[in-house]
Amino acid sequence: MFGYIRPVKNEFDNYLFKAQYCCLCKALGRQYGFSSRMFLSFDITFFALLLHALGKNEFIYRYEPCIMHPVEKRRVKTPNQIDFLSADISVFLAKKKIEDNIKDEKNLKRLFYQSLCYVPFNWNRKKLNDYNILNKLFDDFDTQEMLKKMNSDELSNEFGKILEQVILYASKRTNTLIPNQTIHFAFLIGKLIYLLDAFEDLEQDLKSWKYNPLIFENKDIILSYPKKVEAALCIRKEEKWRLYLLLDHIQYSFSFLREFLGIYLKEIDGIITKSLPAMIDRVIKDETNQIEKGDLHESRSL
Amino acid sequence: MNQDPYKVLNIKPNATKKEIKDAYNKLVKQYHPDYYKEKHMKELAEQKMKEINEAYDYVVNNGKTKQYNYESEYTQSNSNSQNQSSGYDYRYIRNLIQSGRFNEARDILSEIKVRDAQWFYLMGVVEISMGNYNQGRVYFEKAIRLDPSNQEYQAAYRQTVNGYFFSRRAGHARTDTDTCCQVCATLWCLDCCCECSGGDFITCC
Repeated sequence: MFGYIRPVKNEFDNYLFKAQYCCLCKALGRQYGFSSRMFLSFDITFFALLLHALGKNEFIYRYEPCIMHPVEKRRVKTPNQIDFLSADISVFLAKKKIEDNIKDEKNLKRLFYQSLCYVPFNWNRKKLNDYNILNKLFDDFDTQEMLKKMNSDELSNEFGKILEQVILYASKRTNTLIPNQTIHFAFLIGKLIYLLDAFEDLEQDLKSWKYNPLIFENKDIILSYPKKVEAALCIRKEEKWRLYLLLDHIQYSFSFLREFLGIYLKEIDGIITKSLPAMIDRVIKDETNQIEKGDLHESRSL
Repeated sequence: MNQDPYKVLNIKPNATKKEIKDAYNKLVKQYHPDYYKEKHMKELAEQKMKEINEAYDYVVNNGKTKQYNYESEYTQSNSNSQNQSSGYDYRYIRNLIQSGRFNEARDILSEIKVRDAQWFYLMGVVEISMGNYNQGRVYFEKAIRLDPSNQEYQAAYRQTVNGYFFSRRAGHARTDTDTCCQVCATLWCLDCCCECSGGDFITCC
């Protein structure tokens, strides 16, 4: 996962999210060893928080010491079944991401990722192999990406379906009753994660000719611009309507979930209505900055 | 491949043979693989040329070729005169869309053979609601092309490209309830004011 779904940094009233994050960190450490904490992602924290909200779980917390913040104790949510399962899913997704990177990268980077598979983590292989459904979904997704025949909508929809299955799986395993709308909401969040990643990697993928559906959908732009940075800028301009439409779709879908969220509503609402637009703007602007820098660099080298 | 051949060639559906040929020649000159030195660019240009050739074949043969899988919707819509309704009652499909049963709506729409502007519009709504944004946008474009004066189709297209398609749809529903609440609140305020000054605006409360 990529950490796109999170509260904006300067927002002070996100104590539930913070306590949830610390809770997952501790749950990961307890189940998979200290180093596995690096696999913790904001996206999974968000999904765990959403599941707690939909399950109408009480938010019980205590203050515990934290190695990253040695001076003060941190508010940590008391972990339950949902949190342990979220920790499992975090590790599962991280493992998939590493496997994916091993396929994509070359030389030193590949060696680094290969080493991650063997050295410091207690992968708890037996437990991870239980996720047959998710494994199959990821394999199907990889095959489709390898075939390079799908457009960005189709591929992002496939990724959305994975998240859809993740939330269904988690709700079944933890006996959490979720409203039907949650499934579509999870699908849209998955779609957004994939598209944001494709947008963010566009420049890099163009340079190294890695597969990115946005490249293959905008062949004429790439063929018309001699400089890749200019082509990337043009594709970004042409395609950003998708991100804004998807944001609108997510907010619309979220409006059906509001009534189920109880005390969690304020924070989850903050993430959807404030942080997500900010994140989309950041991805688009970041890319602009990168392009400007790249442009400068190219013109200097000329 | 599911692209609009007319868009690929950058021509209007009613373009003459000469216009089609000119557009094709122009694109061939622009995207010919031999112009590109880099291996990947060459590959990309080859793919683009394939698209152009398929689109040209389709347009020249007026959709008779089966090579270009363009859902043969142009053939069907061209068999009708443009702007003409297919005569199908779309109310049931609109209800399905309203209640979020997009798969059912898509299945029924796919079975309709004669496709008019409203068909393309509704298919666009279904596709966008199911996350196929680009396909939905293409359908809206076709709906507008078949019925350029229709405000509903134009609004849907505008809302899609500006990223407020869903909030505007929700907004319509919300505005209705807002107006209702506003009327009630205004009546209640008026009644209170009247009662304060010794009168009564609504006698029953």
